[in-house]
Amino acid sequence: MEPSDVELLKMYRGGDLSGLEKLIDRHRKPLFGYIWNMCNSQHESEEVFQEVWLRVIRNAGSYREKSFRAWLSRIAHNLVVDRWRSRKATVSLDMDDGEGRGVKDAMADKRMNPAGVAADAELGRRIAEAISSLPSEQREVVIMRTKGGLSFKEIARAQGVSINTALARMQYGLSKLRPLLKGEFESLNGGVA
Amino acid sequence: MNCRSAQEFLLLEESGDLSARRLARLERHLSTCASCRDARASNRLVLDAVRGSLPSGEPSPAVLARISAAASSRAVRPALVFLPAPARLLAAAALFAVLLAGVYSLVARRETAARMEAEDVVAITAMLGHEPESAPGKDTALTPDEELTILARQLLRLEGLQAEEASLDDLMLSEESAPTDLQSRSASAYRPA
Repeated sequence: MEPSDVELLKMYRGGDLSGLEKLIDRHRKPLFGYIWNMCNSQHESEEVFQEVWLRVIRNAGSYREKSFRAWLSRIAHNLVVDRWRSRKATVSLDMDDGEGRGVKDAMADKRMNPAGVAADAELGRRIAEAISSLPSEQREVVIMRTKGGLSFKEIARAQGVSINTALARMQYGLSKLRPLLKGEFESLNGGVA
Repeated sequence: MNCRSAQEFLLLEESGDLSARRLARLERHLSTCASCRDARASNRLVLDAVRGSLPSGEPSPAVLARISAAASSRAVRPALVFLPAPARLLAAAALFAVLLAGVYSLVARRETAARMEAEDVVAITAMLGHEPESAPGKDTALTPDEELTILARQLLRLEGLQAEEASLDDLMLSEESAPTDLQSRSASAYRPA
């Protein structure tokens, strides 16, 4: 049975570096996915990602949360908000992914979309546009849920709001995205006997 | 359950936040409400599309290496460093108390030793039948060092008497002197210097 996040952190506190390495590996993809979609560039995303883990390392001794993932997300949220405040950054379709490509191109690149659910690059572009046009709090909820894999309880804790507020923000975000997929939804419904 | 509550429950169901009891309530509502069933399908479609559309990104190996280096430099330090601040304060206070007790014990032992030495001087001096000397012009109270000096002189005198006695024994063995000669000689040997 895999050790829990808290057990891995305890291992690290006891001097076993592999505890932290396993934590990083376990949370690397969702955490970076959230940060990447909230920041302006690969470089900035990496800076935030690194700072998140440095704070985890510094504060490992005083960790008392129930959910490590929620704690991690709150640290990431605070760092992302700091960046927003300093530059009023938004997710831009023209942002660079660190390899000289814009997000639009990245979405069209199948290597960046291993799930391959949204095969239509144009649809993907419209979805990304819609998300970038959302108010920052709603955008963050959508990204935390879809890329970060956080529950609404964890999202609420990370944003420092009630679970009802987190749900309301998600409802708002979905209401903006739903019309984009109206055609797909109708064809999906039409296929059901 | 009304449709407004059901809409919130649908989001919680998708994220795994719904208890079994509330899930049962939701299912009962969905069995009678086509609109909410459509909303459930629509939510899933939108969220899957968002997951597939938004790129994830990956942190570079250099970033991971820096985090690992920071973690290992922290992990080799004693576990004490990961104690929360109040516990560290308590540990420091306990250590200070132990050190203080140790110093006090050392000082007390030294004082006891000095006192015992002084008592020994008095006792030995009494055994030898001599009054303790006192430095000219000084009060009768002597410092431990002065008393030790006096004791040393007493002991040397004692050794001298013993040496003379030993040579007397040799004399008795090697010569066949007249008893009167021997007696006079031994008497002078025991005469205090």
